[in-house]
Amino acid sequence: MNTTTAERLPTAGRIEARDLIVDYQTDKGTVRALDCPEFSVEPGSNVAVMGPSGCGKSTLLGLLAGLAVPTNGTVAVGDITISSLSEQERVSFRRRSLGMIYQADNLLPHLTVEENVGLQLAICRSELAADHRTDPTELLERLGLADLARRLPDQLSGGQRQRVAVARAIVHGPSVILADEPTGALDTEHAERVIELLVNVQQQTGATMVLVTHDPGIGAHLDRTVVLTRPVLPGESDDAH
Amino acid sequence: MLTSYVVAELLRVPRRTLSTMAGVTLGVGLFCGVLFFVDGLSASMTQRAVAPLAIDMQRIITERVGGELLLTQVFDPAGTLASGEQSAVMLEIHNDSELPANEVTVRSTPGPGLVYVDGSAEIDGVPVDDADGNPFSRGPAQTGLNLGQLEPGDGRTITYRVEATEQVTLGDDQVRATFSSRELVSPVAANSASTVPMAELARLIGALDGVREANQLSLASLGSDTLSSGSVVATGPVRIFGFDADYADADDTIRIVEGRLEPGGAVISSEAARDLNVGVGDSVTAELPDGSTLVRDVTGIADLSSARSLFSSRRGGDLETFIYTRNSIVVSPSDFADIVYPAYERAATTTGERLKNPPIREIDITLDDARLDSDPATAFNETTAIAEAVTGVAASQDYLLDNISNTLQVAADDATVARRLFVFLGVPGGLLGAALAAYAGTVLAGAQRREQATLRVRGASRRHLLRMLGVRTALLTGVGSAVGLVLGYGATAAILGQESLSRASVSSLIRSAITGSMGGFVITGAALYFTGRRSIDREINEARARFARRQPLWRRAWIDLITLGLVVIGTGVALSTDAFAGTAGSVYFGRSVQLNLGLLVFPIAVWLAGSLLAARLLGFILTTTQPQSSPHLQRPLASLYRLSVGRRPWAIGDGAIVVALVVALATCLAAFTASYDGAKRRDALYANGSDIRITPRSNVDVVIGPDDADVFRTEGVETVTPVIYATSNVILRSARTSDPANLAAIDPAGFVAVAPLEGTRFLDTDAATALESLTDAPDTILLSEEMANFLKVEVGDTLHVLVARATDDQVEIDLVVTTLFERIPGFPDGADAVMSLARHTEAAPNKPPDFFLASTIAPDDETLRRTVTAIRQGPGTRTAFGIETRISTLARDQSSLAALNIAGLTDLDASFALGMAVIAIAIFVFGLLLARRREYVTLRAQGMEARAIRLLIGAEAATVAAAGAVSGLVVGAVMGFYFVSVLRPLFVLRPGYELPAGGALVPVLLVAAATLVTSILGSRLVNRMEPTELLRDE
Repeated sequence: MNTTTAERLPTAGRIEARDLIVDYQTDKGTVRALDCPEFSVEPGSNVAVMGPSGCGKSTLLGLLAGLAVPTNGTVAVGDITISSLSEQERVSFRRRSLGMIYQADNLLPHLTVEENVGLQLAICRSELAADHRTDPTELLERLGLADLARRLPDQLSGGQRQRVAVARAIVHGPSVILADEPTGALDTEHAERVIELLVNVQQQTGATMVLVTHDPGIGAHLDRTVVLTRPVLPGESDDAH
Repeated sequence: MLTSYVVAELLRVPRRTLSTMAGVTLGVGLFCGVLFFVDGLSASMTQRAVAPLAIDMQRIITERVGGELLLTQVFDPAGTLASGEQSAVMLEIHNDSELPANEVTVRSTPGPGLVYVDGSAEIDGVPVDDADGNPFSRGPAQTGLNLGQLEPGDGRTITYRVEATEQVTLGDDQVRATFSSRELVSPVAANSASTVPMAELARLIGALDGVREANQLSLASLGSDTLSSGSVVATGPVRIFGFDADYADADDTIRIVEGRLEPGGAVISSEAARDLNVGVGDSVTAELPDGSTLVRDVTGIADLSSARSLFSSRRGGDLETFIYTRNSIVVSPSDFADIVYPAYERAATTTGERLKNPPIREIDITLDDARLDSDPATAFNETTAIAEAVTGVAASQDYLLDNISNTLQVAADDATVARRLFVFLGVPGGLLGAALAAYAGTVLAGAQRREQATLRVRGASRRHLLRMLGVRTALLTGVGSAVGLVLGYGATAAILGQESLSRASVSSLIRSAITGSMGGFVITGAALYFTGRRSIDREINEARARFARRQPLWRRAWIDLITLGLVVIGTGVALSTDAFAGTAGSVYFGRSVQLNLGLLVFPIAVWLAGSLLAARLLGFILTTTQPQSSPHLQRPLASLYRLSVGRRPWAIGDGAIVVALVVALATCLAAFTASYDGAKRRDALYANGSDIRITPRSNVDVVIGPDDADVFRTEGVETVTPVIYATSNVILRSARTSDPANLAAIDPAGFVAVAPLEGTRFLDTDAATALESLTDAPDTILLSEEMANFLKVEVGDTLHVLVARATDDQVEIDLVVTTLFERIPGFPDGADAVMSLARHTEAAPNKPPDFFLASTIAPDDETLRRTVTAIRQGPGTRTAFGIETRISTLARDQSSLAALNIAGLTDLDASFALGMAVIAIAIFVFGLLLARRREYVTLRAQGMEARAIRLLIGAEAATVAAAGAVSGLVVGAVMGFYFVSVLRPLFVLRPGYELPAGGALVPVLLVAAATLVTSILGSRLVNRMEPTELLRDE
């Protein structure tokens, strides 16, 4: 499980995390942000991650994305332990295998819809086989965004922007889709539509999806729900939180 | 509560706080620095102004030749008269001398409240005709009555009555009575104190507070061929001086090269000693105007050729001219008073005519310069007070030439001009500080958008936000101003020197500190506050202000183009009215140099509007070259860059404006300093005539002839050429008139090779051609336009030239005027005519060159110094001569605005400007990070490598730096040109415009380096951001 070369990175695979601990050092001492003994998702399935505020949902997602490394434990996607990869290799992993969606759309404000989507494809073009590439125009048509292709994000509604974010997350055919509260800023109707879109896309592409949400209703759309609890340091009572 | 929140917020984000405060600090620092600089510089202006003065004050006792006359006035009854009462005015005039007084005129004028009583006038009891009224004050001119000649011991008694028309107290002020005579033209008041002997007068004046020394000097022209030794006569005019050893000791331009001044003896000039072939111990005879002779043993020989106190003109319109007389004799003051002066008195009374050149007796006064205030205006008040005290000693006996007050008055005006000039040079720095603060404010406001939105959600009103902004602004500008004040003082002390700064008065420094810090506080604070306020209002009024941005007012109102249009029109008007010419200064006319400082608005306008126009052009280019929207981005980094700068050109534009302003200022200052220093150097070279001027001492026995110039061709000398020149050394005679003139006889080829002819204007031809024509046509002469006008001659006319005037060799030759010129280098006292040296030598073979001009093999100062050393160690060991160089001439020119330490000020400006350039780039880069951090971490999450993000940040910063630098160079070059043009009147020659590549490249390289460093630091910060947190924030 210590293979680190980019060539061996998975195009799809099982997500598996063990003994994950993330601690932060603050002025007041050590704060434990995540304590997750085991977390796994089967290839091609989707999982909702729920739990109270401060239980480490976003931290877990950051570890799965390779944006951060755990204080302790391992994170593996397929047969690659990404928690052991170098920053360069984790960037390569994200470029090739990951699609991310956030509560905020995080679209680049000076790029049009098609440019935002096309940029993701351009970033990982060199590492993708031709058969993994999706035509952005076709994708936008498929997601009902073709008419908005030349608009800037500020000229779209919240729901439209989030659909563009979904398009950006899947345009390069990632094996893993990570979504952090993707409907948090949307009303119920738009939230339902976005989550349906996400699940449909995930099922069509066969990617593995982890979705963090507070909303049990959203979690109900997914195959499985994992509930995290607030982490505690040894010798620290749960009441401390 | 509010304050503690703001303080906590400022401390929480130290980088943001510090970068904002840095702009304020630099702006205030520069503003204070300029004011401190002016204080320090003004503090040395007094010393610089008075340093070149030959004599601080001259108490002139002139035209007393003609004997001792005394006029007394009494009233009977004296005291107060009631209206209608009368009193007798009794005047007695008496000649106490041994010589007759001619055409003695008495005037007596009753003042207001008194009228002459008809028929009351009598002289020695004989009634005087008063048909036309008071015979002693006739007509509107109040002409007095001519009593004719008064023999020695003779006197007259004059009486008349006055009647009071109102209550009047009688006194010399109420009835003003004076007398004059042919020998004593200046009217002397009745009841004047008897003449105080000069030695006593000098003692009394010397005891006055503020006077360091007062010594008596008498001088007179004896006429030609009046100095002899045995049968040998020194040909030419002779001047006789009366002064003592104290006077000689006080003036280091009087060089007694052998023997000393002794009472009863005489010191003669080196030239006279050589011509008469006498030395110490020999006897000389001076022929006095009345035909008597003065025979004295020679006790010393002096080199008086540089004695400005003796040979500076005493003529009112010509005080700055040095008129040297080679045959001079110095006797003791008592000899002059007892023998020379009476001889003139006798001559005046016996010839029946006024003496054309009567003896001059004066007390030359040296003030204690060190005690004068450093500020010329205050020093002027001090010297004026001293002048009044000097005049008060034995008042109305004479008059005072107050050279030092005249000089200080000009210096005070110069100081005022300098202050205004410096303020103009400081204004861009202050504006830059405000611009930087505004720019930092814009970035700060953008970064706080989210925080303010959160506060509004929590219930904060606009008023709350504005109060917070006010507190934040006050804290930032308050601390920034305080630090800036210290920085400004430190920087000025470092550049100007602590010693110069400490000479400034504490009050002026405190005033500058308050003005600079408070002014900077207000200006930068306003910039910071109003930028933040606009941002708050925009946030409240525009829900989606993130991307939609309205064009700034200056773009919408076309302020940049309109301003530049006005500058073009204004420049055209200024050129057509010759407004850039200004007026050169003159101590004699009491006029400081007049610069049209209003024209300095042009460079400031060019600077601001040019930078804005550059940003407009940049925005246009970026917008028009942005790619069309497409989903197929071939190269993500290049595409991202082009889209970012093309669709957000204002961010680049804002940064580029600030960088352009900074680079333009630094470029302008570099150009200005180089041009200013270059102009000063060229002026000095022009005045000196070449790199080196070698003047053989008058006391040397070895005569260096025109063909001996090669004696000075030492290591480092490229060309050396002899010159014959002196003031009034020829008489030019035309068909209409004649006049003494300053003739320069030159070797044309040599002179053209060594002299800087740039700036020399000849009629119809260039200088080199005109000068070289003297070789082919030696019987020609070049004439100044001024002299040609005076002599009423034109090109082609023949001029009779008396060369070697007042020497045994003097001879008149005829030369044809071939061309006219305006001025020629090497003759600060002016050359009226130029002829061939060979022709001059042919006419007067014994006349040696007065000096030699030499050029060096390289133009640098080190070569010049080496060459001078070689001359001193070579020919200088065999004979004595004075050496002036363009460097020493430049150093001596300390009396005008041209001596200002502009370089120091521009160093100060440039240092701060460069600091601001670094801060501007830092604010831009860190501003990008603040505004776009979410974009950058999104790109990281999308798989873009850190290196690519670093390149993206670097590329945008480089665009700002490059655009700002290029436009700054162009704008700065134009701005500098205007600055140099406005200062034209400071120089003799039209200052050339120099844009030093090194000086211009410094800010550009610094901006580039700052871009590189801050981009690297910025991208490291991006890597340290917490993507997880940033990406999930809404």
